[in-house]
Amino acid sequence: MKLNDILPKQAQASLGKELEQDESVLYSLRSDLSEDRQYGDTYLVATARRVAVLSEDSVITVMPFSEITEIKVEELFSSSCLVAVTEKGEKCLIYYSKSFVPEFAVFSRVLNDLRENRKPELPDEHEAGHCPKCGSQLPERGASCPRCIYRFKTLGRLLKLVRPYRFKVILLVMMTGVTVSSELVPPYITKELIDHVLPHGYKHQLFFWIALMAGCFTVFLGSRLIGSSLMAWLGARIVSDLRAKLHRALQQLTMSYHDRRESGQIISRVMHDTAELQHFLIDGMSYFLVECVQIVAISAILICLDAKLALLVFVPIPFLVGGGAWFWKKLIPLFHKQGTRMGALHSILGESIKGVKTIKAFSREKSRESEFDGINEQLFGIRYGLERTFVGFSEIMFWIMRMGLAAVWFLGGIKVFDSGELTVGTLVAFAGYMWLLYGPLQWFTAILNWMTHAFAGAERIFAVLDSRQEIYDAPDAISVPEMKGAISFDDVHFSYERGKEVVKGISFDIKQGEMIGLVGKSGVGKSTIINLICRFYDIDSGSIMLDGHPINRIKLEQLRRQIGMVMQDPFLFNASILENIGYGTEDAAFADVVRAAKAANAHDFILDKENGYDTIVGERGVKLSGGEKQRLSIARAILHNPPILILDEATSSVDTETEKEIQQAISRLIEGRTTIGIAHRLSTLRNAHRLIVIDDGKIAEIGSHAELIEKNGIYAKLVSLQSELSKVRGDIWQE
Amino acid sequence: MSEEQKKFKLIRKLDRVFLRYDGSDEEQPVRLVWPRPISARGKEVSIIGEGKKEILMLDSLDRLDSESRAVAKEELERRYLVARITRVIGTQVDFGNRYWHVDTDRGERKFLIKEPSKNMIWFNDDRIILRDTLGNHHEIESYSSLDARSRAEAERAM
Ligand SMILES: Nc1ncnc2c1ncn2[C@@H]1O[C@H](COP(=O)(O)OP(=O)(O)OP(=O)(O)O)[C@@H](O)[C@H]1O
Ligand SMILES: [Mg+2]
Repeated sequence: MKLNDILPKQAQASLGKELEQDESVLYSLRSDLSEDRQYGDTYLVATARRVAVLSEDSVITVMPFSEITEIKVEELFSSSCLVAVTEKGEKCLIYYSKSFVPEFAVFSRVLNDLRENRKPELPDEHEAGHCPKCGSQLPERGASCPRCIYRFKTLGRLLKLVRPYRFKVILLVMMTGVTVSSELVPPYITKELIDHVLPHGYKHQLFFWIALMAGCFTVFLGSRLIGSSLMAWLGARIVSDLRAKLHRALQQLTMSYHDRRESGQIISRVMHDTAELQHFLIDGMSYFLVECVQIVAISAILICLDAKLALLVFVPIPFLVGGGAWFWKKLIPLFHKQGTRMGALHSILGESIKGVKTIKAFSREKSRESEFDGINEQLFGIRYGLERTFVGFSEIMFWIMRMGLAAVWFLGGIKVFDSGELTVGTLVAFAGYMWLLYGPLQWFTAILNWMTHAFAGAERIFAVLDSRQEIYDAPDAISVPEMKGAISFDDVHFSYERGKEVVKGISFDIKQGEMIGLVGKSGVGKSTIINLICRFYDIDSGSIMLDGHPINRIKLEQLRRQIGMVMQDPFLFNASILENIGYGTEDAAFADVVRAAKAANAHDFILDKENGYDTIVGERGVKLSGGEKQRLSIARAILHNPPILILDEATSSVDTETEKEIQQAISRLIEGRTTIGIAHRLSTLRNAHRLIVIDDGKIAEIGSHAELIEKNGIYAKLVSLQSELSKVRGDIWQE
Repeated sequence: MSEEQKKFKLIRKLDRVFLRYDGSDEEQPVRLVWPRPISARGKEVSIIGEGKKEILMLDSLDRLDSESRAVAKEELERRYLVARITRVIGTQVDFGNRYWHVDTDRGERKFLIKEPSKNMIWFNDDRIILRDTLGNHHEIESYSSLDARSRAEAERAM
């Protein structure tokens, strides 16, 4: 990423007057909001000593770093500003719209670095919000610009997918040639029959021509059968390949990619876009191929038969093609509308099914119904409009074609009467060819549109394939097959969305085999720290080391294999309990699974089920209680047997007694392992060697239970609050 | 006396607003927010103090004395950037991407909207909030009062 936007000449000149001799502009960035928050360009500039804000033609503010105690981002609605905290108070330096949030977040870090005489580091990557070529806003940051995409490139990539099957493609092209030729011969035979055979009663010739005609029909049948089955095979093959690629890519895409999208959107990309493409490749492509060849061939034949009459045949063509284009222009918005309504209907349906319990509990069935009916009715209207326009269009097109035919019969007939320069047979053949010509033409624009649609789908698919993926085996990755489990954070900063820092400079060292409790209010960033240790996200700055190796250098698969996680919201697959516990440890013996289940205090409840370990847990584990799910995921982590164990609210949904039993199991388990536990019920963490108290993304306190109680800070307050609470509830707080 | 009834003043110092209770010289930094910035901007106002804790919610700014009201108005104006669209210069729909080119009370602007069912929010069939793909908001205060050409352009992208 670069922070060197070009300054307007006048602004640069007036800045020049302010700067000292040895002072130069190091960083500059354009904002899209002026000082009074109108749309207009303003520039933020940093030198080694000062920060300045410029308008198009003058200097607005200059502030030396010595006056500033901190630079921070203030999030506003639909905009943000960079604030300089000074002795006198807080001053807004520059406003910018949401379009520039990541850029200014980086700039604020740069300013703080300059202020403290550190060398600023700019992130390598930059996901721009606007197309660098045409300046249009992008569908999402870092995406390719739909307006600048080169359609032939997409075609090229699709062709690349076909390459392994090129012999089939060549065969297909040959079959297409055969199909077209065999279709073009019969009208010519009609001409011969009418002009030569029938008037003169040549019986043996009749047999010959009829046999030829039958032969043509048979060849047509054969080539069509082979050609279309080839096309179907190729289309289905390409799409299956693509779908497999997509699935693989989706597994490897970064977590932030998945955070930004709804699962429905992704599923629609995998299923719908690929289906659309397949439909086009199988039906559209073969149609398109045949028709293209046919149109050229027929035009040539018509001109050869009678050039003047051929001209007449071409007269309706602009109407057919133009009408088609006009009609599609009308239809496309309707298609879009149908698409959006359909999407809305899908999501209502989905929510109605997934949220059925909540809907019933609040007796909202009626209102769901009316919501659904409303959109359903709209869809009906659009659908009806679409069909009506469609039928109207094709009938009118047929009418134009018939009128053309009538005109040809009329003028052709006169020619036959008058000069005899046209034979009856030629006229009949003419009419036959004409029909073959007009048919495809009216759908030509439709097919072109279809193609653009399918290509848009293909582009969306390629966009997924091109998104940043996690690198599983970087060439310079370090292999650490056996980890000991020492973890250290050094001034780690992290934000899910650039500009909104969640982890704001955290440093700590965890020794091998230590048990650490992470404590803090909800939303302070505890689970986030865990996510960073697993490298689900890459940090913005600072470093995280495992056994002395930076985690972004360790082989990803090895890293994650060494970490056992019990997540806050455990995910179970719709499979048996056995398979769920064994997930990630596929080679485990049943005895090991049982041992793990026993340790997690899950064994007894599993046996209590009719199907025991073979019980299917349902989608996301709906057939289990919250505590049962948690215990299964603990068993899963135990079986995994990793050097680093992470328990994020692992026992929040079980009763105190069960928790105590699991605690005992865990305390046996954690021996010799580095363990990080997160719990709101602080008694859960009583085994921890040290506690790290997080507040607002920073470490507030660190130390053992006794030390922190003595310190009488946040932790002590939390403990006293909880013991009061549990006194009220009559819970057993401490043994 | 409860928080709700205590009299206070809002004071601006540089770009920050502070709250001071009458009879006290302690000033605490506060933030002013609309609790319903999309559906009912301009209705209630929340005053938020340190630790992201709300101090109180006002039904309207009328309860404040005129100086404080001016401070509050200015602060809310500063915090909420919603450009009012006065004219739709052009729109273009391209596979679900809706490109808009508009004139607003803050100047000309181009933006892109996707998924209009989620990002074009209608109120009373006349007011529309448009949220672009980067999170910027734009508003058509009254669709029916737009000129015919603007409406025709807008219609295309809906
Ligand atoms: N994927 C995400 N994208 C954007 N923001 C996120 C994401 N996950 C969490 N956040 C935000 O980051 C902050 C920290 O979340 P985190 O899950 O780390 O909290 P926590 O300390 O684990 O809280 P809890 O005790 O409730 O589990 C929260 O404000 C949350 O809204
Ligand atoms: Mg959490």
